[in-house]
Amino acid sequence: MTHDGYHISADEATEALRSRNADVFRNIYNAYSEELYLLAYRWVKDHDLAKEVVQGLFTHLWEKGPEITITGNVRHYLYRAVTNRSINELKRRARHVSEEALQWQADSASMHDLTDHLLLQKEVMRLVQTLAPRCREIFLLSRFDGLEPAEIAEKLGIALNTVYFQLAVALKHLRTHLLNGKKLE
Amino acid sequence: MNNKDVTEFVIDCLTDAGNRDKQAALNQWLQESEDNRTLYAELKQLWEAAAGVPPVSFDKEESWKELPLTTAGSKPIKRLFPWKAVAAAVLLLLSGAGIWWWQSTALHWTTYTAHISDRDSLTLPDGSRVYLKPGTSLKYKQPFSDRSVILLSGEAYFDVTKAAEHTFLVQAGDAIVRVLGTAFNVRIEQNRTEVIVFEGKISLQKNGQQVVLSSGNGNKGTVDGDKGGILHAQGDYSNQCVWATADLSFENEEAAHVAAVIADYYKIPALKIPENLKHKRITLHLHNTPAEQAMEILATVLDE
Repeated sequence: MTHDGYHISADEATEALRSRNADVFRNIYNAYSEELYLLAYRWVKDHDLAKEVVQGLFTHLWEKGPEITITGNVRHYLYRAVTNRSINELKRRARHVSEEALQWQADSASMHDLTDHLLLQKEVMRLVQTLAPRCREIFLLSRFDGLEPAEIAEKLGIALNTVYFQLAVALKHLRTHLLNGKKLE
Repeated sequence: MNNKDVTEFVIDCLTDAGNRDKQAALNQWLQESEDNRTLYAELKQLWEAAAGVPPVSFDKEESWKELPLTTAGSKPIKRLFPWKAVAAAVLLLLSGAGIWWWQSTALHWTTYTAHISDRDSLTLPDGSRVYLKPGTSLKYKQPFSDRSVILLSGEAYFDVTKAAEHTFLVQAGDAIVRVLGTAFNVRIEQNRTEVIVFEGKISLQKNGQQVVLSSGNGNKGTVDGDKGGILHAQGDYSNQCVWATADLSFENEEAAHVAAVIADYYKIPALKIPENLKHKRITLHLHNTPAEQAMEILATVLDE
């Protein structure tokens, strides 16, 4: 029976870790690693460290597999584990741990909101890669680097109107593909 | 909103949230129809989701290959102490390249500035904790083998890990604090440095002069940049560390004074103490106590 990683139950996951079932383990990795990377990034704000946190978590799950029991929802279990690891890494490196991370509530309502948010981010990341290069550059300068439209115009030596135009193209592209939005005029 | 493209209009409003004219135009547009409100909510959601994404995407395939997993079914490899790596490092140290490498990493100062808005904390490489008031700035040497910290500005509370063989050193303006393992507070104000010992004992030095401060009575020393010596005050100043320790102690002190310190710490209006109790001497200890509970404790002690 083939399973995609999203439908593996806590019992099946625990059993797979116990018996070191590499196929199931890989399915779990394929299903969740990207989301976990985005979640770790949310806490540590450093993409190298975020990746390290995710890789560290899966290495731990594999090595300590026989001693681990996953309960409840597998995704939520992994969210909690990656959040704890992120906070620990920040502390270990004497970096600032945000109040948001410390106060993070792991109740099921916020877990569902978080899942929606991370899945949306995952799609945003994928779709941004499909934008035309100039459009992508402008969108990333705005969203990732946090530059104001006027700053982007100055940095790239282009008209402010062009910046707005390109940002709108990018946002429409995302909306059309992600939210099944109707074409905007 | 003229003939401007709707998405551009929304982006303009999202990127210029402080502009009241634009926000007014946006509100008017939102009032016009349910469709407008839905569209706005969707665009805003995407706009914000995109803001939190990392600059580099996660390559599942590549990352999977990098995972250091032992093959399925076999026992996990026991991690032995990496003698080989240590031996290699020692060899590297002995070679010329090693000396260069050692020197280039030896004298490295790390500067840390606390958040502007609230109390911040930092764990030093030796495990000692530092609490910093907003905006406080310090630097420390890495590697941290000689445990030296320079307080550049502001106020910091140090909770020093015990290590008998290595003194912990804080330089603040003209003052130098030497400790073995203790907790103390250092504040720089213009060219004046004030040190309060919360726990244990420290040595405060300035230009060869030295005063030993212990916790309890006489735990405050002040070094003035202009005037010569070290001032050693009478009294117990522990409560001035409360911002970091959440610990308030009063030993046989006047109720009016106790109430004033408590009100100041909890940022509540001055407490009314009945006239006949104002000079009553009380002893109480609060640690991490919520404001309401602290009030109750104070009231109980006053009634005794």
